[in-house]
Amino acid sequence: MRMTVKLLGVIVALGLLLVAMPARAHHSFAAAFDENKAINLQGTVTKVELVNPHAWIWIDVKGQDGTVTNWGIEGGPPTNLLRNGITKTSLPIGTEIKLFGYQAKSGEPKGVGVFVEYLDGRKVFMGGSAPGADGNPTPTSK
Amino acid sequence: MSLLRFVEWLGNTSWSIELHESRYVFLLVLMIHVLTLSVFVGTAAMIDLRLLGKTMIRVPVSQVVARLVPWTEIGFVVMVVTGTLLFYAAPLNRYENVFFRVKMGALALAVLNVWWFRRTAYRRVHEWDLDPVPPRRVRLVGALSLILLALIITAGRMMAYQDYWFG
Amino acid sequence: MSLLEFCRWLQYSGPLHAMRQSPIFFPIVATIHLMGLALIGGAVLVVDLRLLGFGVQSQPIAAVAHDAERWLVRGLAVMVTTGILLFMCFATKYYYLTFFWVKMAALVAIILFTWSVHRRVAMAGDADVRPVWRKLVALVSLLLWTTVAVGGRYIGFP
Repeated sequence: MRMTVKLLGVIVALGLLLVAMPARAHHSFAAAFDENKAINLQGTVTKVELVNPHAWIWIDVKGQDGTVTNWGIEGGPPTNLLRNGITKTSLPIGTEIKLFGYQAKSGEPKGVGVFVEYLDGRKVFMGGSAPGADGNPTPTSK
Repeated sequence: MSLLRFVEWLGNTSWSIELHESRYVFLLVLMIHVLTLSVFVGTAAMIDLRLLGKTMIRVPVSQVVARLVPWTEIGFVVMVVTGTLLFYAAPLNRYENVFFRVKMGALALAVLNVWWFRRTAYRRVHEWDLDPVPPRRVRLVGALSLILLALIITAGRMMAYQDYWFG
Repeated sequence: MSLLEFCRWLQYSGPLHAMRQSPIFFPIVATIHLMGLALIGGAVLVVDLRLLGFGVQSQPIAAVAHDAERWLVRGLAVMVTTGILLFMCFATKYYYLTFFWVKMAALVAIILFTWSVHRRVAMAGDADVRPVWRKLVALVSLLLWTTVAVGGRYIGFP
């Protein structure tokens, strides 16, 4: 009976959470990105949210069949993007850009971004949770 | 004006937007909020452990309370001020966040638990002040406090995952 | 095998990879890590506040320190275990983070300090140590713990 009461509290709290989760699980982002689902997107910027704690870049991507999907890609906090050169005015709505990252486990058009690539080839790392988003080589990259 | 409308309006004020988009301030406030839990929850937990008869059992309960509670209170003020700022940075997001609501509910219950304790059982502390292990009613207050504090920490940490799990 | 390669191996090892597939693994471990923070905070403050002249007065410092040490050890056990698991989830990223190494250095320093100088001063008789040394030891302790904590938050930013 050396278990602290705190641990008991954790179990109670987790119990509550786990009960709440299954009902929503199939609608969710599933809490994580899939490192096996790398995504290479190209599209036009619809919104840039340079907010704490995570910035988001939204782009319209035209599929093979002509349908347009709006993708949301998450980055690090503004301080990381600002340091790498992305400001509120760097990506005006309508700018054509490429985004590389990893897709949400749920398969939604969302993901964590590694870098933004301008059409002239310039890359800006998005500094977030994605492997390589800090600009360093990762096990999955060269 | 409904609560939802008020929260939306709040989020559109210039300072809210500036805080939300700030380079350093938000992250600094967040850091202070998270780290100060070591003071607020830390000292509260030590008091609760005394109520449970698990620590400092040779020190009178009233002594533990008198000497530690001022720090719990300072910690609490810092948590509330920083917490309010974090709320203000994105009011609509917090308002709609399920975990935030659970956290606030747990916080309200925790405060209520303390207030009730002070008004009732603690009034008679002299009866069990020197007991290494206080009476059952007092131990329950300590246990409930710890559970609620654990819930507050859990819900607070999980707020980041609302978009992922309830998006 | 270089340190980076070791980190890579850790991050992509079989059992951990399976654990990481679960979307709730990291959040739960991170939450328990914070609970450990509260426990360490309480245990450290009880002793260091007393050394500074605040805190519980009725018992000799040694008795207070002895009591709190149990809880400090438990808090550390929780934080180190969860810390290792968290590290394994993002090992190669942390490898490149200066603040991660600052945190580790400060953690090693505070553990060594707590179980040597700090302990000697705290366990000494109340009349055996000049107050100025007690206060100094408490301040060094609080400074080092704060460095560990702040370093931890810097890791958590991305």
